[in-house]
Amino acid sequence: VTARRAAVLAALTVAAGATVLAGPRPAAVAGGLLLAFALPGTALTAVLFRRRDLSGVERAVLAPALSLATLVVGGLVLNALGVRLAAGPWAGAAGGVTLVALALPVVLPARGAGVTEAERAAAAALGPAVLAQPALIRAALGRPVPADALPAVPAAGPALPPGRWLARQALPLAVAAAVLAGAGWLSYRTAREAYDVPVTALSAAPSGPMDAAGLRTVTVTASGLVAADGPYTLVVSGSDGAETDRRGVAAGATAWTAALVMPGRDRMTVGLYRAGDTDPYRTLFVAAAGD
Amino acid sequence: MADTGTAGPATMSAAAARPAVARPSGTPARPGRRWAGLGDAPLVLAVSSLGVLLVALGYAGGRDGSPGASPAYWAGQVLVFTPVVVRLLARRAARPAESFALVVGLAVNQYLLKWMYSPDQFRFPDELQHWRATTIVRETGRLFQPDPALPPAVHFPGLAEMGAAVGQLTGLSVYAAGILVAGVAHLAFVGALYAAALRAGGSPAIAGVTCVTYATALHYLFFNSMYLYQTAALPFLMLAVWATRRWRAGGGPPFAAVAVLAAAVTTVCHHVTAFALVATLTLLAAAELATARPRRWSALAMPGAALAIVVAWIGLAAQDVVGYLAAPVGQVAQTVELMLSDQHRSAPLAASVTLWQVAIQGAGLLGLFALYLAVGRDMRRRGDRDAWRWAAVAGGFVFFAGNGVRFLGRNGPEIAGRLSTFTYVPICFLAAVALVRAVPLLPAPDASGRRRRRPAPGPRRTPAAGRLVGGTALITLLMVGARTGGWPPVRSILPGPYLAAGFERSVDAYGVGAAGWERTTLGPDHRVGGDVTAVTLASTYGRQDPVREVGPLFYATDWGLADDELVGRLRLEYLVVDRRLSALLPADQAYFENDPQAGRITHPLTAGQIGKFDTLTDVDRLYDNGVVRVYRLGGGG
Repeated sequence: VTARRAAVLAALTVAAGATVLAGPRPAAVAGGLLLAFALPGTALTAVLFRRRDLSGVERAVLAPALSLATLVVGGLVLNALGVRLAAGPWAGAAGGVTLVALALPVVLPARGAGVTEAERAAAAALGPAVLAQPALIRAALGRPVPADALPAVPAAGPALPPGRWLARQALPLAVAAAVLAGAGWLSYRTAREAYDVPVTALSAAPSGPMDAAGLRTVTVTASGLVAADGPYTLVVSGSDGAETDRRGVAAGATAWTAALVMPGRDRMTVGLYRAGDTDPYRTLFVAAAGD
Repeated sequence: MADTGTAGPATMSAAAARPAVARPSGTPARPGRRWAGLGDAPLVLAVSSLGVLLVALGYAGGRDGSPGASPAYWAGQVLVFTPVVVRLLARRAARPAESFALVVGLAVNQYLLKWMYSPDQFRFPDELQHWRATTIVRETGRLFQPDPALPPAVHFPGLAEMGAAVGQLTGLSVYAAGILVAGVAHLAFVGALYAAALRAGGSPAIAGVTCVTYATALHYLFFNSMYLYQTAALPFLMLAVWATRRWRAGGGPPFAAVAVLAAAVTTVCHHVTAFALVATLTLLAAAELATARPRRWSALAMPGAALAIVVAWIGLAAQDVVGYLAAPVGQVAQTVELMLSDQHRSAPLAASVTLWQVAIQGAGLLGLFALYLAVGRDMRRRGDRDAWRWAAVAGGFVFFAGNGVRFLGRNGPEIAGRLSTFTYVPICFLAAVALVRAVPLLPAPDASGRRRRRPAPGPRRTPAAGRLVGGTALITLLMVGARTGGWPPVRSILPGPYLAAGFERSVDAYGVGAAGWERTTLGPDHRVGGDVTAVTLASTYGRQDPVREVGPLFYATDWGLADDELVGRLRLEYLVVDRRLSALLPADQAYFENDPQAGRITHPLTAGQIGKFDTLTDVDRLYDNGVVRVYRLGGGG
């Protein structure tokens, strides 16, 4: 990695860390994704393989893989140190590894990094086909040499004319992205529509202890009430069918909750009725309290 | 050991000395054709994306019951996949950028197929379990915290670390972070597979065809791209293999360091993948020792290091995994024992597979086997000494042998599928070699009509139409076979209405609502039982301690002493009862985990079996949403 590129990566790392810790949400998402999936791996690849030949494919694979490895190892280290895993420590681990990796070539220059002018001239004479392949550079110069110490590699072959590039590469990719986005939106929308059905539930918390009067309090909740089905009615009855409580239940935006006092030694039935129902729409049973 | 992706110094010196530098593939540079870019990959991927749209339409149709859903799904699957295969096979000298773009683009499109099945939340049980594991890390800020939903995952926290880190760094939900982590891990795995195949095969076309063939693995589309700990481990397995290859080819210590790091991360992420890595590295080392002269015993260093890491982790941190893994192995062994002793008539030994599924998968396997034999014969005739190719031949044999496991017991297909995640790699590589290099299935006859005496032909320069059509048909057939035999099962290959014990298809607002009530009203860690889905939801969204052995309580027509004893023995506090179990047969031959009636269920539970809990006077019914009911049994003491 060149010094300029290292500086850019370092600045990006600091900015990503800052947005994670104090930035607005969209910036935090972008910064977090960079710290999690890209920056540590890119820096580690640069420092580990600064004197090795790697293809573009290998670099593309190593960046996310080593970034994820950084999270795994970093999490284990933080946990062993007793640090609570949160955004700050994660950002510190990922950003710290990135910055240290970027600084290492400065602190510990690679052996053979210095390239003589004669070697540069010799390398340049080999042509772009050799310069594009570090193995060939190594073979030609007789020693491993960082690619960034040699002349820049020009693009292989003639570049596409802008019109052809637009037609053959940019446009199809844009179409693909648009189609994929549309497919994703369609799936998400239909999945939500299929999932979002009104669920009307009647529930009770486990009953409390029976008091001296033989009564107990049961907190009953009705949720997901549909206004069109109202007004609802809650009926509490004993094991003999006799009603002990009856009250209206308002269908609102939030759940309806009430603390009901009921006999402790009887098995009670709590029924929720919609408007016009003769049978309970939802039913609970509260067993008699034990001695 | 030869490494065509990283030629040795002698080769390179010779190459560099020539005025016209040879390309790695051996073909001379032709500047007029070598323009920087992705070639035709964008166009092919645009066509492939239309397949994604078709599948999305199929999924939407499945959700609302449209009749055209299934044709749209299958047309979409083929359209996503086949154009990429055609392109990779049609131009064997494709540049790495184009080949890699095709492979990664296909992986992205196929990952979207998985995501679109359930794009709003995790629904598969294992994903829900890892959702909870990640949530625990986020909430506590600590690793290795108890997790009743999936106890073994506690000691393999790699995935939870990734998910928690991404979630906390970005502020995204665990679900969104999980989707991103699984997607990146999946793409990294595909990329690492491509890189390893490129180094082993030396050709972008072989690497590309290896990857698209691997995309037909039974578990590639769903299990290996779900938010599961295996998904997190797989890229590191393949990274370790790639780094070992580069290290053995003289790459130097950094590659060895990456291999060791990758082995360590694999181990921290997933037990079975770690075992598979040790086995893979051992096989590669053994092949090198068998083929290379003089022998370099240093080949054993990497499998030794990986083994030491795995043993150390299990010995120090994850002892419980031994018992966890012993159960399915024991089940297969028991099935074999029953078969040998002819005592299997009381229960089906194999999962139900239709004839057409067997035909499709069998035809694909036969095609692969033919390619396998052809490559093996070709290597033997040419006196091939490449250690990795021979290792692939050995690995391919393990793949075909492992396919027999699918016929052993109800879990046979699942075990075989999981095994093939690893053993499918070498056979895909060999198939790619056969297809790209046009290895003849049968040697051409000589003048006397005999086939054995004719020397093996060299690689063909011009792609043959037969190879293109045949290869495309075979790989597409394998893909169709994987969709019919992989996950989700054919009966629930489209999302849609509730199915009993149907995994993703069983997770709906009723069950999730009940689980949410359990968490908010009951508090965590109560002993809760129910059918497969109810237990999964209770242990994840509900934060409860799952009890999986409650089948007898449901099957009893009347409540008796045995049921009371079972409740006490299981310390069962709450029972979740889904009334739909009395209307629907189980999608997977069992309503419950450890179902005593598994494979023998011919009619749904009766209303009496489902409703008997209401007659128990000392049992509370504390929750009722019309579909799901929760009873308090009080077995927790």
